[in-house]
Amino acid sequence: MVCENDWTQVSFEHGRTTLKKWRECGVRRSEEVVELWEHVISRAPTSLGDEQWPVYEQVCIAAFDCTRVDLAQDCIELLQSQFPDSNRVLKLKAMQLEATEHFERALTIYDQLVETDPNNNSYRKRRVAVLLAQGKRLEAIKAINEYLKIFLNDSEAWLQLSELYLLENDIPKAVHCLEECVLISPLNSMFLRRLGDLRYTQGGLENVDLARAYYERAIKINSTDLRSQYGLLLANNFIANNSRNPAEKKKSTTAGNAALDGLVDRYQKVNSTEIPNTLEKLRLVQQPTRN
Amino acid sequence: MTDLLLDPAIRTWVFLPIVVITFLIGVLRHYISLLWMNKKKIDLENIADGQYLLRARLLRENGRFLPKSSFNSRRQYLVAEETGYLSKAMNRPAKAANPMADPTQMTEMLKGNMMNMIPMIVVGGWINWTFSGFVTTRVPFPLTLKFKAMLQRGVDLVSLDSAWVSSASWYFLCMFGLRSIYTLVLGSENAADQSKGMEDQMTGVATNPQADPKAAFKAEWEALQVQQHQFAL
Amino acid sequence: MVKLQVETLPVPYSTIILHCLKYPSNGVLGLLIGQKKGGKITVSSSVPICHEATPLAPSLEIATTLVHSKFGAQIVGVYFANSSANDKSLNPYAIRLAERISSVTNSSAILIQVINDRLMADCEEDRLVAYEKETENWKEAETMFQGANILRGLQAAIQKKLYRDLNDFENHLDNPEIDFYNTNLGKKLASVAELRA
Repeated sequence: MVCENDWTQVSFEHGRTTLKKWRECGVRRSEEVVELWEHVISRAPTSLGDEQWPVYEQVCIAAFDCTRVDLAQDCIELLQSQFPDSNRVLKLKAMQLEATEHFERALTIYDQLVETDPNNNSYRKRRVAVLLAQGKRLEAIKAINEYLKIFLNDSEAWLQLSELYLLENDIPKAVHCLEECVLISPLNSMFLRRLGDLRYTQGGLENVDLARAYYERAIKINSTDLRSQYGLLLANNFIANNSRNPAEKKKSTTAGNAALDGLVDRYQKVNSTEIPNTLEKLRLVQQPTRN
Repeated sequence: MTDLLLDPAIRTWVFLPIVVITFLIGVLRHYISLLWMNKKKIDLENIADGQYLLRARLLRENGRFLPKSSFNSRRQYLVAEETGYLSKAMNRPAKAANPMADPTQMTEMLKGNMMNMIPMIVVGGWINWTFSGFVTTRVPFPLTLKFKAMLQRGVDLVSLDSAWVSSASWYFLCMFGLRSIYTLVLGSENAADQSKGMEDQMTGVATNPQADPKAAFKAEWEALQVQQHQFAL
Repeated sequence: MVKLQVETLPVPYSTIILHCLKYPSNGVLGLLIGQKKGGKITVSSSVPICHEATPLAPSLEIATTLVHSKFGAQIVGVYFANSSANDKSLNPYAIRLAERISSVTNSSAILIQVINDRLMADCEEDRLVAYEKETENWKEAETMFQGANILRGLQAAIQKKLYRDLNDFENHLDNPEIDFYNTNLGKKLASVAELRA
């Protein structure tokens, strides 16, 4: 990954494609978006043609994120004059109310939007965001549950719900939510790894055993995932230390050390020596098995 | 056999105009249909139904990645007697099974049909009438005699090589062949293409999720009941 | 009882604030390195760990193991910031991590919280509040404020957008080439903000 830190000097065309890329994959790089806009794109927004409207929307949302209410206001006004009756612009206005902490008024707008367009789930999601911003975590959980009764194949919502349950310290429920994510996209190594993390956090031999299975699967899908490799190492070590079954103990010791070798290998490729040396501490000594 | 030479005026006054007219009509159709079609409204219950069906399928396919207890609790949630969503949906009274009962759906279909058929008949007839009897172009490869009926509509010459294309046939070729150009000009979700519309009509009935939700629910319910859980990891 | 005094040197102070600024929408968590002398703890360095509200055991465990083997008993505590601006409660995950560290280093660990709504540029108050554990409860310790000097240096660092150079352990997990001890950042901070290392 090329790490660019200065967005003030890039060319117009480059800025335009970058914005487009971010818009399409939905990354949250608000500050950079605002920077790109102010230094590069705002020189000639009309030359974007019809692309300028989504750009205004993007910049507007980014501006909320950076508390640039002035910039957001400009964007909304422009969009408003172009699309006077658009629900999308109305949503931006509600977000503006959110940004200025007029939560109740934002909520009424979202309620209204949900009523006019019940199929658009982004309004329902915003409602949850408002509740979270108000710190009403339990109500937010309720709202997401309500939402998931209808749109129960939305992994984004499940992930958010699992995070909320984690904040409430309810790991079993968080596990349930992540299992939903895995059901929906079993090839997503991030979900698998996170489910492994959760199971490991839950503790207990049975859960760690499950965690190990998920880590293994995650590595099978994405072999360069450092987190899963670490997870596999930890899970194996845990089992090796706590299992009563000598065969299992032996097996997981070997597996743990193999995971460790993988990690060391990985670090050697990037010429790092310090961390591998530390990791050696985690290497388990094969205990002689009693027969 | 001596080669046929076409008058360059045919190119300017028949060949190109047909292309341009077909193209413009497609664009026009696109914009008119944008005006006519109001957005399809699907009510929440239908969405939920679709989502639950999808969920049941996902559970069957990917349930092997969950431990047994998790799988069973989810299956119970869907198929439990009385309370399971699928069981409830299976026993729901059937509503409005035929499209006749829903007039909005009817007008929607009618609009679609009219958008397809009327311009095709009118323009086709008009082109046939204005440009009839011209040999407009030739396909660059030899064809068998069977193609004469297709490529030489309106020109009944026995001795004419079947690679030649008549004006009426050229219109049809353009109409069905412009699809990718429309996608280029109007974007992929355009309504300009007639052949697509016809496909929709032919396959539409089969893919409609509302066709018979009860049967779909029942099938999923049965499939889930017999599903054996096997942890795959 | 005499309150514990906590002093945070300019570089870790800036690192903590920059870590918050890099992830304005998330809570952050990190480890504090320093010395304990009598009733005073001097934080001389900080290691940013993660930017999630709910960090899970595996990555924290690995991070603690790595940092502990590098600094040994010099780990004195944990810093954290909540994700919501008005939330001043103590993060249970940070508390748990602090307790873990106490058990690893065999001495009580401190918590430092970043008070989010004081992160505004013109705010003259100290942005960090330290806590110590007294029997079962966490009590506010005495934070020794560095004064306007450090804030001015910090301003310069923020203007230069140095927070984009900061990396935490999570970034490191995404790309093993990344140095989460931020040695380069420390040097840059020293030169840009004229802060003593």
